[in-house]
Amino acid sequence: MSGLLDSLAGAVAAARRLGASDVEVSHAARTLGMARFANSTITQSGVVDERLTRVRVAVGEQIGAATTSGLDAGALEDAAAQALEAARMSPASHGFAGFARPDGATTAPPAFAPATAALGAGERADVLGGLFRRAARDHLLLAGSYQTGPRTRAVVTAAGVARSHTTTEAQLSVIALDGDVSGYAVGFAPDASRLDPAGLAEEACTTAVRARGPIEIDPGAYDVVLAPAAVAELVEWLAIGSFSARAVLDGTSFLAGPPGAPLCDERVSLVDDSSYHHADVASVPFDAEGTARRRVLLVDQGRAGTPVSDLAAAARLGGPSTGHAPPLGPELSDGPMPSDLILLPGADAPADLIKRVERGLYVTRFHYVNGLLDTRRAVMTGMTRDGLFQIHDGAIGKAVTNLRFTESILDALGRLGGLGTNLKAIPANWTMTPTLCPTILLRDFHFTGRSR
Amino acid sequence: MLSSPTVNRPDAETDLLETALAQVRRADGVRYADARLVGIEAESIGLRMDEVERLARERSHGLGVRVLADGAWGFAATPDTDEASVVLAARRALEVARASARAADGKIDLAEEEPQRGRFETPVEIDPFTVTLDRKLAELAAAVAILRGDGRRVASAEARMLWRRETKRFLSTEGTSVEQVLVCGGAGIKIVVADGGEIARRSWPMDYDGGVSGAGYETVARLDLETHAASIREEALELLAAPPCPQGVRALVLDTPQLALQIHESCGHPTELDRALGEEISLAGASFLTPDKLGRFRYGSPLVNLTADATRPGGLGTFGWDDEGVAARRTPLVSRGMFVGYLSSRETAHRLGLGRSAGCMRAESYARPPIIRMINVSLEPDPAGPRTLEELVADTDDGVLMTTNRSWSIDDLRLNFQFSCEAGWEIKRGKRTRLVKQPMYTGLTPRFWAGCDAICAPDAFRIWGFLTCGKGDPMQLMAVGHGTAPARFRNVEIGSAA
Repeated sequence: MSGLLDSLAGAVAAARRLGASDVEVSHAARTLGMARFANSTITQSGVVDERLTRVRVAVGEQIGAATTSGLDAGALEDAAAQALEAARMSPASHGFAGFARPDGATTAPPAFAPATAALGAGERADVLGGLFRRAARDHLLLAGSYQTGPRTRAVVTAAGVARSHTTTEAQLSVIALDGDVSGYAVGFAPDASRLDPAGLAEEACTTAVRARGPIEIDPGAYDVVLAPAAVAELVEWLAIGSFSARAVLDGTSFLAGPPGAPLCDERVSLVDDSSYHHADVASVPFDAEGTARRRVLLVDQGRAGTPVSDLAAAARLGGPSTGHAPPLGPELSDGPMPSDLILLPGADAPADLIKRVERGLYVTRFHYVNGLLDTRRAVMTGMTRDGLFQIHDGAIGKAVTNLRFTESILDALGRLGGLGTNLKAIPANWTMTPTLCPTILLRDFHFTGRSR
Repeated sequence: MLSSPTVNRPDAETDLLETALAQVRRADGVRYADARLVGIEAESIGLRMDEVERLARERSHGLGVRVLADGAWGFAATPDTDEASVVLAARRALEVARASARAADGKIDLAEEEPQRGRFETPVEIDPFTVTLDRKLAELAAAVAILRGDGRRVASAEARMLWRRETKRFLSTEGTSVEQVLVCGGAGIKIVVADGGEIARRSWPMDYDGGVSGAGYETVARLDLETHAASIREEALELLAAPPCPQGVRALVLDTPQLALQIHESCGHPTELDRALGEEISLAGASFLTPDKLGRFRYGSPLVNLTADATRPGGLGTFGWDDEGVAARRTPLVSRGMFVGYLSSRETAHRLGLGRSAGCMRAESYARPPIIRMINVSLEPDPAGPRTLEELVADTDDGVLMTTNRSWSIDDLRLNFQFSCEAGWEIKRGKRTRLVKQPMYTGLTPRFWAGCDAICAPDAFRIWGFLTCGKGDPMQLMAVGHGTAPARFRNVEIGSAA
């Protein structure tokens, strides 16, 4: 790893030689082993090496950036020159207080499993072959994806930050299908040996078998028990709409009101915490700017907390960065974004949440949720998929065809009927680290349409 | 001005690709292989209020190799393009294919295609990489200044510009050898205003993405940012006091920025043949347009003609060849309201007996295998329709006109959708009347398109672009185009997200 940091330090030195007054070099790389499958056959499989290095420079208060996929001295020096050229033509960025400085933060060693880093295409294929045979016993077909490999993040700044972190990841998603009905399970872990592929296939197949012969019901208000995968999608959209300092500055966040304003049930606490210990999560303890991630209470016992920030947003807000600059890669967010979301668990056994429902629905997960309808009230819409079931007198009953919900999630969390003790790592769509969520019970959740 | 782009050395690059293919060409069990060298050069600029929030340049370069061996695909990619790395990547792809065959059905074959040779370049009037940064910043700053006005009630005023040049060289074991230089880019503006508890947003052309096209810097002049900055500022301020869109079943007139997204979600995605065959079900979902419906299913009214066309000038889905070397072509998807075609690859076209691929295999970068993507999926204009949006409004007795997407959601079969827009206007007796906030509509895809009773004429047709269509696992972002003229839909459930 010192070789990588030396290379990045070389880029810092090159930028200084070219006239930069401050420099940040940020690097992201991974080797991704992947197998996608559908109709119980592997449809895509590959091994991909990919990497990106961004050089950001300041000339006084003028800032420019350039990224490159090259890692040799020539490519990095070229990126430094490009960044300098951009900075010199850029207007001053008032309030720029410099790139990250050493902060003395210490972190736990990265979760790295050598066997997961080295897992081959044959091993992935053999695992999947076993799952296909399991599904066939129930006349089901499997679809999904299995991904494994190491991921590296590193940052060096002119002020002395020099951080690197390499973790491993294994992720398996399984959908079991019988025509129009399906079941779903997903697992994520830093170590592939923790994934339990057979258990995930069993869960997906059992759900699919139970989902056969769905009935139609009318949209309306129902008590719902949301499985962790369903909860995670809502939490992610809360994050997209409201947990960035940028959204607070724009006034579009529900955190833009007075600090401590009541938002929902006092049992609800949402945090962004890279130091939270969970065996299925491998967090990166610093952001793409090299700032150590701080624990941020986003919703504190049902009341408005504080948003996450990066260096630029922190300068506007007048405080330190919380270490939530967006990761390198496609530009999917404006400004800072959460990285390690956790809906803190409650005191209820998941099975007890179902027992509390007289007439309601159990939701395995949602599809294509959109949380941009009214971000100040967290109004969202989305469809159910892969297992929607009636709950009658405290027990799961018949399968139901999919429904669309449209609801203020803050209002819904104000009607919290219970919060599970379980905490499951759900691979995230928009953040690098899985979201940790329990099962929850919401009263009078509003379904507004059907899929047919 | 950016420095000169990386100078390609065609012979050296071709030799490198030949080296990759030589590793697998004669190996046991290999049916087909291809190799791509992809270089991307990009520039993005973002202004927010009086700050330059983003000024970044990007260069990436790498190789992707795909091998079909023992009836299974293998893919490998590397950012290192020295000979040793290229050889390693090709051998890895072959190993992966052979290993994957242990859990694959081995039934893969490819629709025949003539080997291709040639070069394609996006026609560009003004090379965006030769335009000075000063000029780009000045154009964006001028728009932001208009958006901000006197500053009162303005929470955020933004302008953004992006340019991208992708250079691709492709070789296959069937003799195809092609090179492409694809250029795209554009600009967009957005304003957020607030007053007490009310907040409103307007953007032009569509929250950044829409103003991007397959062309050069001439795109910026066509966007006329300053004129639109003034109009969206006025509309945003008016929206603060506007009533919610009334609920009811009414006629819906969609202006092209929103109709482009409607086409994307409810026609583009469900006609992807990999979805219809269940191959994208784990993430993106499947499709209600299953193969048994091909040629037999009424998708919309007889006015509705939808095409996939990679030869259409100016689109983000315009190119010479797709990423498996299939020449750009035009494929009808919906003809006079009947579902007649799919977006397809060589493999899926063969499986369905379609005879030929629709040429839709595209990869985000060197580091991803190509998958079926939209190209330019467009709603064809009606030569006999109203000539302009205002003529269409004048022809509407009672309804709502909506523009510019605010939120989108559609189910995993692409049937049940709900969209909300930034702005709407009630239509009464052929007149655009009061502005309404957060208009929303919902429906079921075939029922919605069956209600299409007017599409404007070719003069009102324009092509829009989306940069970030997500699909695949791991997700790949793709730039796609959608052409359309304004259109009207009857009996739509309309309401407000407010």
